[in-house]
Amino acid sequence: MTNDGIFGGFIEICNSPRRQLQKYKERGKKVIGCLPMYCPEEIIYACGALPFGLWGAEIGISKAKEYMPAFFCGILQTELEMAITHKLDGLDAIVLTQLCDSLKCFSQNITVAAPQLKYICLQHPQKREGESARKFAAIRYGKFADEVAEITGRKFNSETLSEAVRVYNENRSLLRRFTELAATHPKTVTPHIRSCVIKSGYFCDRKEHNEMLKAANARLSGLPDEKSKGKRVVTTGIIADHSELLSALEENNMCIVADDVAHESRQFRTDVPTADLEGIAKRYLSVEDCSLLYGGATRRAKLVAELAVKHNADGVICLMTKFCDPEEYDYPLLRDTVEAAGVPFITVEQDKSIKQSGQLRTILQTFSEFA
Amino acid sequence: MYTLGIDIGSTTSKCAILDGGKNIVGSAIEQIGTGTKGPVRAMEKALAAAGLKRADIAYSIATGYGRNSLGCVDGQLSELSCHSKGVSSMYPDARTIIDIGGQDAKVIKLSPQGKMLKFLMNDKCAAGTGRFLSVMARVLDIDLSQFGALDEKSGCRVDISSTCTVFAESEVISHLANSVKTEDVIAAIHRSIAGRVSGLVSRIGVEDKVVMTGGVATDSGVVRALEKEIGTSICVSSVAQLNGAYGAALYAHEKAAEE
Repeated sequence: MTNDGIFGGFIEICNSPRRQLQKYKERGKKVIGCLPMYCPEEIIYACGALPFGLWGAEIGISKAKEYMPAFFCGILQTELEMAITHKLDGLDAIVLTQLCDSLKCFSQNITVAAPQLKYICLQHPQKREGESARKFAAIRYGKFADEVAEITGRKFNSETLSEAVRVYNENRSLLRRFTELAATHPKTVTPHIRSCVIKSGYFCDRKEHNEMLKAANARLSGLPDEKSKGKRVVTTGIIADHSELLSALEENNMCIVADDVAHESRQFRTDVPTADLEGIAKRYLSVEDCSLLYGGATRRAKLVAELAVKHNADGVICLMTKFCDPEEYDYPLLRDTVEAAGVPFITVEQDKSIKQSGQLRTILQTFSEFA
Repeated sequence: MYTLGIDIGSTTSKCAILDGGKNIVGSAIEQIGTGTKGPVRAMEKALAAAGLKRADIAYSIATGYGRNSLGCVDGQLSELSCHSKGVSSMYPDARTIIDIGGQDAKVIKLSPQGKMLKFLMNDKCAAGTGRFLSVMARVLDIDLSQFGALDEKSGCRVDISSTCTVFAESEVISHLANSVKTEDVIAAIHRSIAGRVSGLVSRIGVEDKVVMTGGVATDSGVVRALEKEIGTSICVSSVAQLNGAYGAALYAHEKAAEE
């Protein structure tokens, strides 16, 4: 069977998120858009709606420029462009988080720029230690659940929440297993396929995604391990799904052996410990290695270096989202820690809203040639 | 055994032919780059200069921004690898390379064995590149070849931004409107480039010997400004603009020897 045979379903979903949205709407499902990041999707799921990931698109910016300066996060600029141009109109609501300065500004702009959409603002506790943080998060998540229930017309109960946590934890576990298998099957799981398998989960019911992942993992488990023709790399950053980035990785036969990407592993490396609101809050509070969360820089740098050493990687590729302050703050420590571990480290800039240049290809090819 | 390296840049095409992986027996620089007839012309001119035919070339490698656009070569490598190869062959004691081309600036750190250890490229921006100089030359209506000599005559310091070519262009026009002398504006342009590139150099760490390559290295005003900024002397490669092609031809020689 070809790669498409194993992964065709994942690729198809990623090729048309809008078609996915329409599909669920036709089934009578409420669909709620979730901007980056740490939206407690389990609560939405338990209230009977489908969480739908909004992580930007490869489109040009025109209308959004009225509301944003040029030096603004491309993920959010492209989401704003889609909101203004009615590309998000099928969504029943959009959850706005406030975890970075860009998200804070964005959450104010989008409500004015695209008033036809409904919004739910979700404030996470910035201070994540101690009893007060746990209490705040649980109370806030309770209020969030009420706001979601207003849209779905259905409150969650212990049974639906328990099922949602089970589905999402299973999804995380399956994705963790998939990334391990991807590392040992670099010819079958190219960077593009790896990205599609992970990304597709944002656009479908995680229960359906779990079935697809179980089948894919089973097929991969049955294949003999493959040797990478190119360099083995660890990726780190906010997002790694730009088509030109993935093409450039493939042109150089690179194998992603592990990642610390917010859109990828940061979403599934931590489980919800208990099937209640406190458990969902605990998951958020226990994440210690993310640029968007206060105090995560040291742990993240150490984690990336450890991932590279553990997986015998030839290097770390830092995918620096343009104009992303939290990632830029982490950068010096991250670079120094990885290099101190004896692992080559390169940086390529990422921006959803612009075409990647020949510079990206030159950097990755050079890295392949010398690392 | 003859090998050929061709560096297809954004604004120029450079070709070098080596005999036995040592001496340059033919070379050519065409002032047009990728997507034009420049690469083929540069190749034909270099072959003619060497008195050779295409069939005499044992192996050829393309490098530069347009390295994938030429079908008639045996292989391709990134320009950073080729610049490292060229410099470490010609200057074995080099530890830092500054290469400023038509649309990008690169800084490379070399090991004592001449191996590339690290590299950095400029942001997607024309500031600090050859394009920046070309834009300013057009505004000033002065040929770039005169920039170095005019800079030496500067007696009064003025400044222009190093952030953006478009902003800098309007600053240059403002200076001209205020009757600032041309040589002072040119010195400011050179400092602007130096300010931008020195940031890259500092991030990678300056280590002597510093060798400069690329077309911009032929502008002595940029070299002087950069030396002041980074606080050390810079050796301009004797094949500054040809260095990428020279490195590619060296790699081609190794490849031909392997085969």
